[in-house]
Amino acid sequence: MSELVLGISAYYHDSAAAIVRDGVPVAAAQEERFSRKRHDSSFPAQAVGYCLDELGASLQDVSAVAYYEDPRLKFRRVLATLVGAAPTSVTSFRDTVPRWLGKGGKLRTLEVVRGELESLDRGAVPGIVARRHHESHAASAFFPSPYQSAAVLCVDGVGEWATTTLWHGRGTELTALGEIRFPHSLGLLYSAFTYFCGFKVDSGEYKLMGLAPYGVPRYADLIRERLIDIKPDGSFHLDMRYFEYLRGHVMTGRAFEKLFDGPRREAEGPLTQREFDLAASVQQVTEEVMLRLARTARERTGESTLCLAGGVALNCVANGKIVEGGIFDELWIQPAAGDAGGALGAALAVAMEHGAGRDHVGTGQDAMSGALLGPAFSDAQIAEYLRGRGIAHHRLDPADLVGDVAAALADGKIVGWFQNRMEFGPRALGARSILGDPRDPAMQSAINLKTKFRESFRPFAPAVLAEDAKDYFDLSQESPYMLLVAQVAAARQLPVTDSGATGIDLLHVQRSTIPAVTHVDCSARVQTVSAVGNPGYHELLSAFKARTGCPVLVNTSFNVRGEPIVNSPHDAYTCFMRTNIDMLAMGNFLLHKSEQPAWSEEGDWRTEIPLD
Amino acid sequence: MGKILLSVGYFLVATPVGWASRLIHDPLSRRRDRRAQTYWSA
Ligand SMILES: [Fe+2]
Repeated sequence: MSELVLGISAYYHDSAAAIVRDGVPVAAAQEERFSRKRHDSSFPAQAVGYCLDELGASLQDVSAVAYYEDPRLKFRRVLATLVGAAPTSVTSFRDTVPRWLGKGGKLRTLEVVRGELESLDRGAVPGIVARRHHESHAASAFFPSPYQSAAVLCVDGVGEWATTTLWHGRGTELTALGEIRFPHSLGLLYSAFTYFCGFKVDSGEYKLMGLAPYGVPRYADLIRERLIDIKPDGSFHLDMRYFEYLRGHVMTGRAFEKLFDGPRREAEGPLTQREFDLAASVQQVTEEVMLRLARTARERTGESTLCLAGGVALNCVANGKIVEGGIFDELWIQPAAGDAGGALGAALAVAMEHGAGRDHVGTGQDAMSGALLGPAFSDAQIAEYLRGRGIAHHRLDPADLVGDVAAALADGKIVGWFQNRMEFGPRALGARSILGDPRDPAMQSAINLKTKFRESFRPFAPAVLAEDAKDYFDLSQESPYMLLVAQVAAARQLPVTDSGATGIDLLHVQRSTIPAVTHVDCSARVQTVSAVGNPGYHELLSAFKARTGCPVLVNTSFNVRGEPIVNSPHDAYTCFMRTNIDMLAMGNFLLHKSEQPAWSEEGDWRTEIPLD
Repeated sequence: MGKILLSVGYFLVATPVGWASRLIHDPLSRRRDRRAQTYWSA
């Protein structure tokens, strides 16, 4: 009889649920995909419902529920912070304390979770246990990894107290080796700059990273002198006089402004050289800390492989630097490295404690199923949706569909690719993706402006056939989850004469034979696609290569700016019709934009989706 | 809980406790120990 453990992360940012069967992740999804509210932090009722449906299980069949952090310990940290900041934290004290205390307060999160699960009416609710926030991250990084033993590093904003932890993973055990505690946090340092540069904390960090290659790290020394003291072993200490997050709801204030040449950039305001340089500077410091932490991880464990999780592990540029540095033979990064992945990690930690094994070790594969752990829709379900709505479509054999899509892509068309189970984690990996031809210099702007409706300073990510990756990128290992940045191979780079372009116009200077996925520093955020990980996607890339000689496609998430990635056929069709995507491939069905009626809907959806 | 009650609690309890605790052990380790070799804690 197999044992199921349900993991839950909620009430902070990007809630999620996951089910682990005998130690293997079998279903996982973020609530935002169902509620259609980006980074939805409410109880993940629909995600739990989906996970149970996927297994045909009720809550009675689940042996334990694991919550991804310890609410009591977190409250003690919050209280210590407020008291520690007295007498300057009165408003924040008045706002925060009532949210924790009282009936249904955050201190009683486990009772609240029990109540929520009971109200799903899906059977008797088993015992609920809390794991530590960083233990959940560490478990999500190590247990599904392909390694028998490894060093494990978790770096994020903050959970309870820990902001950085080092572990030694062996078999089904994780041993804690050390930690760095709040308020000293690499994640919060990065978030402070994200906030100061006018982006949203907890989601704009990715933009700041994308901005860094435009800048010169001229503030890096200042950051090292004033903000963060970094020891040779990678541990660090922040000077809290420059940060506001102990006192209130913002990250930075006057002291930061004085240090970095004036007030913060307003959201959506113009981007100036200062923001480029700030981004480059904090990125450089982050990389320096991560490299030192990685070296310490190697020394303390003697292991040759490293597993990463926590929000900072989504910094694929820093990850790429660790690979480049050759500190470890190989890296494995949990695709849901942020707090959504805590749901999976908490469940894994409990499963291992209950005696589950790690049977995938030795096969060379990880246990994440390519991160395709979300809902799939059968051809029957898709057909029912299309017929019900009277939507024009063609049903094709799989081989013909792949051929038609490859031909359309080679012809410069933008294609919505809706196949297989939805990805778990923030990136689209070829299950809910928008695809295009990376050789087309106009493709980057075309997708950005006409499809995503967003600013265009970031290039897209390339998906490349794993077997051809080395021909195109300087990457010494696989990157199945798009969490490693590498340089475009010299043979694919083009000579660049000084075009006189500055700022974000630099992105339009062609630097390689795949300009749509090449950043201004010739780097790319690579996803390597193997036949084992995602066979259908691999076939499409192969067909595109057969036609064009190029084994690379532009891959960006299937959504418009500010909206969660599409989940259902309805979400996909709506996004297809709202944008200039030319073709939609859903299961074995192909939809052409030219055959669709004019799209009309009530209200202006663009004003209804909040900007990210 | 009323706003006033919370504010009273804050200034009469939280503030003195905060001051005292900072004098004794600096729970958020805000002061930097310049001689420290490392900021890792086990
Ligand atoms: Fe976290």
